[in-house]
Amino acid sequence: MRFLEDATVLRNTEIRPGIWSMWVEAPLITDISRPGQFVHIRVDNQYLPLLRRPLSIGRVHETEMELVWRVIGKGTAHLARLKSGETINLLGPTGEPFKIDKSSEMNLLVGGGLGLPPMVYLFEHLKEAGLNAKLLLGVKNEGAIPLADSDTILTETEVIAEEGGKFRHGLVTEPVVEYLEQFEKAGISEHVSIYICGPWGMIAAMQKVVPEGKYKITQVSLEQQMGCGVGVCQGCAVKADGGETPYRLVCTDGPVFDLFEVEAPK
Amino acid sequence: MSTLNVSLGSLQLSSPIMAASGCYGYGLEYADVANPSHLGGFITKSISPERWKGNPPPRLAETEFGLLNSIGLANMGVDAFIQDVLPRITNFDTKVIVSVACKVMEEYELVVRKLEEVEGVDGYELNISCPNVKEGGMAFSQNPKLTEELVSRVRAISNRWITAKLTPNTASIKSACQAAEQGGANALSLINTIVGMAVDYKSRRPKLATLTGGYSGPPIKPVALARVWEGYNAVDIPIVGIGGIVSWQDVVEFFIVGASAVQVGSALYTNPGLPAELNQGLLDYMKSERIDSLSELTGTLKTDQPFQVGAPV
Ligand SMILES: Cc1cc2nc3c(=O)[nH]c(=O)nc-3n(C[C@H](O)[C@H](O)[C@H](O)COP(=O)(O)OP(=O)(O)OC[C@H]3O[C@@H](n4cnc5c(N)ncnc54)[C@H](O)[C@@H]3O)c2cc1C
Ligand SMILES: Cc1cc2nc3c(=O)[nH]c(=O)nc-3n(C[C@H](O)[C@H](O)[C@H](O)COP(=O)(O)O)c2cc1C
Ligand code: FES
Repeated sequence: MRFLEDATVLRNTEIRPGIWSMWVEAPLITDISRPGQFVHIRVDNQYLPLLRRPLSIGRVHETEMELVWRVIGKGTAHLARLKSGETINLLGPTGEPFKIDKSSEMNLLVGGGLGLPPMVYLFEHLKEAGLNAKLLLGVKNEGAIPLADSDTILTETEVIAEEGGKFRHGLVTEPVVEYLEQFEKAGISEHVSIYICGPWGMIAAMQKVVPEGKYKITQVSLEQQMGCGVGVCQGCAVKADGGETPYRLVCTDGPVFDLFEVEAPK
Repeated sequence: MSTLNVSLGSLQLSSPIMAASGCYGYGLEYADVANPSHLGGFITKSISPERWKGNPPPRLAETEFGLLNSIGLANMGVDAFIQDVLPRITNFDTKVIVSVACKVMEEYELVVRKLEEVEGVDGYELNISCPNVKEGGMAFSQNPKLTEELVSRVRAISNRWITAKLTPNTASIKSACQAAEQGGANALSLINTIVGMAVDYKSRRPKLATLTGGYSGPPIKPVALARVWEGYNAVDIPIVGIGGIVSWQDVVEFFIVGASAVQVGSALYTNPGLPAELNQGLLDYMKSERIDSLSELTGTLKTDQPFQVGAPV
């Protein structure tokens, strides 16, 4: 089930230079959305830009939904110009959500840069369900954190910055390895679920440090250039196992895939 | 009384707006967000003898104003279509036209023979114009002899409505149009995508894995209008105009240069509700211009003198 919903903009704020957070009122989509799904956004009433833009569903609080994005080009710049009270047309919720296993003793959520928003949605969702979860965020520097300084989620997020600063210095895979060792020592590895959303470099690094087959769930959310967002155009294919062909569609088979099904582009 | 009904020879449509192949899936995907009955008909994703995996990614590149694709006709194949899809779309209040794309003539015959066995198919669109496959594809449509032979071979096994979808990637489309008419086509679909390329200047890499792809969207409308006009003047069978349509005014322009119906493509990705908007826009226009049937507009281009800005209409 999907909707075409005219969502009303409630707040649209630049939380860091070039990074925006927008809360919209979208009762239809938020009623059925799940962490990992996305919305396909018509950024303009004309056909300029021609295509919709996919953004992950960030936090959902009752009928309100958060979208967080970095301004890249025309589409995301247009979104940044929207004011409270204006409406935008959303197609969604689209895509397969993260699998959640209530018997997981620990859920390790790893976001890279703008891969964080769906992780925040999943984090809140798991916490609400009374499950244990750790939220890790890898960024280049403080300016790339897709959360406002005043955001309470930030206090619950372990930030690892390539350029250090006031955060742990390094790559996000380093604390991941440490946690995996701890889980191993505690003998709970097979009761641990791991979720990832970030750039291909991070995904490839996670494929190296996470042993295959050891954990309950190992899922990753992917990005690909999209057309329709609903399985019509066959445009968002990525190389991935598990389908009838060597390719699978990010919009309907994904965006969530098993970490070991996917192949990073060369 | 103004009516949106149009006829394409033996095929009657309740609206001149159809959904173009590859832009409406198999009919089911958009059904929960847009009522298919707003469409006079839809053309399925091109179907081949068996499942085709399509081209390697990336398969899409959005350009300044349009879209390049190199899907490579990824589709489920005729058997899965007949088994899994057809039973679920036959109750739609719209015409179902199955697009067929194959590598060789025998395969077109094979696919159509299978579809002839089942109910719920209102016609075929022979896709002989895909720029994204190595074998077959637009090579058929670029060769009038092959075009005529292919259409007549399919005609020999089906009494259903048949349209041939032709490529604009030729110096002239006239002989291909005439060849398809000679072969027994009931209509022509003009145009498929235009060969194009997109490059990332920073990395110096092509944006599509196949280097080139098919260009669609608003920027191709002038090319499509020119091809429809060329076709209209070359044949007597009706023409379905395709290329860059986003508004009812676009639809009217296609009729003026010779179309009897149109297909909307890439714009559906952005606005699945477009067919309903176009119908409303056309009806309002017809009422205000006292036009009963859009067929009155077909081929009414006034070539005695050009439109001059500022001059009285
Ligand atoms: C499922 C999914 C979820 C996403 N969630 C988020 C999110 O929560 N926050 C966020 O900041 N970004 C997210 N992205 C990436 C976001 O869609 C792009 O940054 C955005 O489309 C860029 O559009 P633009 O017009 O500003 O850029 P341009 O570069 O001008 O866009 C040109 C074309 O490329 C496409 N494109 C460019 N970058 C990407 C990309 N990374 N992924 C897919 N298509 C791209 C655009 O959609 C457009 O069609 C997500 C992508 C996908 C597929
Ligand atoms: C992603 C994509 C896939 C397409 N697939 C097909 C196809 O399978 N068969 C076909 O005949 N045309 C296909 N087309 C071409 C369209 O049907 C249409 O001819 C073209 O897009 C021009 O119309 P537009 O400018 O309105 O999009 C495809 C177009 C796009 C953008
Ligand atoms: S975006 Fe069209 S099939 Fe995925």
